[in-house]
Amino acid sequence: MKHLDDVADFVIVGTGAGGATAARVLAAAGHDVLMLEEGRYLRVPERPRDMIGSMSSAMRDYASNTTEGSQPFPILQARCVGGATAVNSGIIWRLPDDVRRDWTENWGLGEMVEERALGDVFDVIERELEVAETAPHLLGGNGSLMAKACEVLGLPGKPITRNAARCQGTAQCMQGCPGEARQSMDVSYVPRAMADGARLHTLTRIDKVDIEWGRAMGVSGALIDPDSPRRAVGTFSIRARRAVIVCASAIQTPVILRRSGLRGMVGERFQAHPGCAVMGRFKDPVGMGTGGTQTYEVPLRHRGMKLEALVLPPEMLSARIPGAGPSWQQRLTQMDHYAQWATMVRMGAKGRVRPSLFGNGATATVHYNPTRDDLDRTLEGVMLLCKMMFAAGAEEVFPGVAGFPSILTDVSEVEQLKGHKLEPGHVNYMASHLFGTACAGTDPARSAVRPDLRCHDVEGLYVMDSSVFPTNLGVNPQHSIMALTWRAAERLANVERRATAAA
Amino acid sequence: MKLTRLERSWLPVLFSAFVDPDAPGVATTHEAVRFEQAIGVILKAASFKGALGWRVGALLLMLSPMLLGGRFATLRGVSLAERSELAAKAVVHPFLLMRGLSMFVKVTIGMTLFRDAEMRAASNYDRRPDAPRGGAKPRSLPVVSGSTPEVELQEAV
Repeated sequence: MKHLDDVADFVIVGTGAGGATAARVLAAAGHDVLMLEEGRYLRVPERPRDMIGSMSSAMRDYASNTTEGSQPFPILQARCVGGATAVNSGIIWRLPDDVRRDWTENWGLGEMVEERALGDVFDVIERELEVAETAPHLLGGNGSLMAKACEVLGLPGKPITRNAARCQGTAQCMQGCPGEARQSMDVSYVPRAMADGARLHTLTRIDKVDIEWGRAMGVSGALIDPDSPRRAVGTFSIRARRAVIVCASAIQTPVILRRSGLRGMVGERFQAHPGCAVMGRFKDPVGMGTGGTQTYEVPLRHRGMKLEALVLPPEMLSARIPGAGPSWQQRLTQMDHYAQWATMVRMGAKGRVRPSLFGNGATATVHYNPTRDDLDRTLEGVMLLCKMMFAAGAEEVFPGVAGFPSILTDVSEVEQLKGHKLEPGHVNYMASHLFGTACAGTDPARSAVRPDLRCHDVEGLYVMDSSVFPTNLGVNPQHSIMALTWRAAERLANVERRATAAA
Repeated sequence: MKLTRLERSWLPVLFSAFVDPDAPGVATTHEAVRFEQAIGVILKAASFKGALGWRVGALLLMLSPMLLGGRFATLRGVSLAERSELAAKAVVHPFLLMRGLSMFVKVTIGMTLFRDAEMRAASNYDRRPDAPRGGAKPRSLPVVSGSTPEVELQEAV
């Protein structure tokens, strides 16, 4: 077995929106930064374009981990440099004002999310990551049809704002933008931090933060076999002179912290935006594979949901097309006639995350049960999507609700869904926006980290990812993660600079 | 977890329940798209729970003549048409376990099928809306990734 020893001022666990932003800020401030990433550094030209290769190399456990409870659903997480930003659609939303006020009034985060300071950080990130609204010619068939439906039904739809101003419309965000137009962390803040002197170790799985006398001294874990992510080929110990910053996601962060001996609110308050999709078949070709992966959206925050156009590659779209055998095969020859949109629900349910009894240091068990209200809102979203599909001209609509006809041919049939009491397990949810498992606040009884994102009980241990969000947002979280991290990292850099000067 | 010999023997049967090689449309054989190799890659990458789920899904489908059709037979013992009928029933079944896990098998078949450039072209997925039907050329996609150069960790060790 090999062993690696290293040391740095700041040791950052994870290279997603949180970890890469923390590295970018701290390295720019002249600190000695070391990033640790469990996955590989997948250079864009080498990333496989087929879904089997793409998912097995970039997604955690092939997206086969599910929640536990009455309605198990898959949790989509990346495991590569860039984290989720390397596989998502680069959707950019600022922290909604109602959420900002709630965090200020009820969680004591006023200084961290102060409107003007946060706005300045959003401005910088948007400039650096080439944020722009999707141009009309990049809407693609899927997004254009959603725009048409919004026009017919008078819904407040709009082109999605993304960090991909130079997008060429290849609809391959999930496999890694072929032109490096999407400014995911692997092509933006990670290389920028490295240019400023930060270092990166890939294939390093953190098992725990080493805590002595109430202070984080470093991290230790396993070196991973590049060909088999569950096989360890060695061990490592890395010492942190100033601080350990855990940015490993709302699932892995609490697992690492609990394995390190932290308790209290760590792993509690797990929240999500689970979503499910509706598909439609149109008489004329749609051209789903053209344009951006996600280009059009209908934000309905007052109804607790957001609708998005979502392109799927044929490998995944095919499974959503109903049937098996010759009838399915016949439908598969017309894959250019299908459109798919999804509803993402801001669920009120709260779950918890724990390290698995079996499995390695990163394996988690997620308990989560949507509430009755969450299920009703899901059904409302599905019904609205069905109506929108017909409004856009669909000949057939596939609502994807178990116990209900799988193919609808007339808009009048949608109303029958109203009488269908959605039970757990009736729809196929998926979730990629995860929150709250190390939530920030002033009261240690209600939160795991302080408003400056340092753990209540441990000196030199910070959390900077969506785990610290006290609530879910109702919008895509990447931009808010980066902005909060930026604020916390900047503050940390200044504190440490002052400490060094004083010494 | 590698597939057992028994599980490997199910693969052609499962594939044929979804894809009849002689039917019109997107049609091929499990050997042509290397279904077994693809399942090997997927199960290796999946979590223990995921790999177990796929196996249970495959088992439920193999037993679907009994579970869904009330016949004392496995999927191997029924005609291609019946296999397809049972598979279509399984993926929309009201019980989440049956529906979710058989859908997982269907997803892996879709992933295997459209990894193949000819099948992808036959689906017309990449056809521009104004292009003539059937004119798409097969796009060659890189198959499962090879090794990726890593940042100098191993050298550092």
